[in-house]
Amino acid sequence: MNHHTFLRLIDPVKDKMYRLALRLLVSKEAAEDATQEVILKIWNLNNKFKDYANIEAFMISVTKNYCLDQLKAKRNNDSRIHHNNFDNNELAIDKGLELRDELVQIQRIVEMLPDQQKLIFQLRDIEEYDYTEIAEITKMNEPAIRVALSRARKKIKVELIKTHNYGIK
Amino acid sequence: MELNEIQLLLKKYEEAETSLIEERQLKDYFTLEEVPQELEKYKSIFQFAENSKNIKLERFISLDKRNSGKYWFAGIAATILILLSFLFFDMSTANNLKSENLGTIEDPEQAYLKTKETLNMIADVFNDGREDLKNLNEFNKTKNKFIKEQ
Repeated sequence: MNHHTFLRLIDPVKDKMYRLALRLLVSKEAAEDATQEVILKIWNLNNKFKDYANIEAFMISVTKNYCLDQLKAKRNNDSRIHHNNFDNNELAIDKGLELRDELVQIQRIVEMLPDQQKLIFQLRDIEEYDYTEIAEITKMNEPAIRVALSRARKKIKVELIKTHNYGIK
Repeated sequence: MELNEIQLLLKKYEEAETSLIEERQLKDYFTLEEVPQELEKYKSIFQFAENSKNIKLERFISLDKRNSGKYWFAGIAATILILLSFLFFDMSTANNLKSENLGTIEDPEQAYLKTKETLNMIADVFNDGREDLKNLNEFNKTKNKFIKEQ
């Protein structure tokens, strides 16, 4: 496989990898680095990944592992992850200021979720993978995935209501 | 879609029991339609999910930009070069020793004489060394003086 075929192969997946990295690592820089790093890693496997039945799931899975390792390393170094990209929010596209604020709030709530819930929320609610694919990526079983997802969804709702009430009272 | 139908779906959604199709329905409903006040909070949640999907990787991915792989090879090449240079150096000095100083003598008589000469030379050198050791006796004399006095 040459460069071009490989790049064409990863093209539909690379944004998903980036979004997952961004969800887990928060910083845009770190997420871009991670995506680049993981794509190089897969490229360096030299076609070995052809054996994997579902290449997309494999790529997402490698991204997930890479990001979780990064987070672990960071936590071991006791350096805080910088949350500095609230403002350059790609999420808000002229939907009115109020909704924009809400989206930023949800972003903050999602950031506070445990890594596993973040991961599953990202895969299901944003990337819209089905449960068998998520199981392949996360190596978890379906009931466990559903439990984590349900917790994430409820937590987001509850926290959102909390911030609303705080604003009113 | 009916309001109570939506509410039912939302309940299922929170328990993570909705299918992808049902979740798509919810997303469409909350992002495209007017939503009653009590469901307003869901609007932003589904909007968030929809918008998040539009984030794109802006950095250009290149497979040879980071040439960490190339440096890796350079390191190994340098190591091999250094090792080889040592090897060649060793071999060349070994060859010099053999050809210039260690010429073998074919005739046994001559070899015997040569060996004897060499051994004698070594013995001489040893004896030279031993003569210097005589000075050590001076130490003994002095030492004995003290011991006798005690």
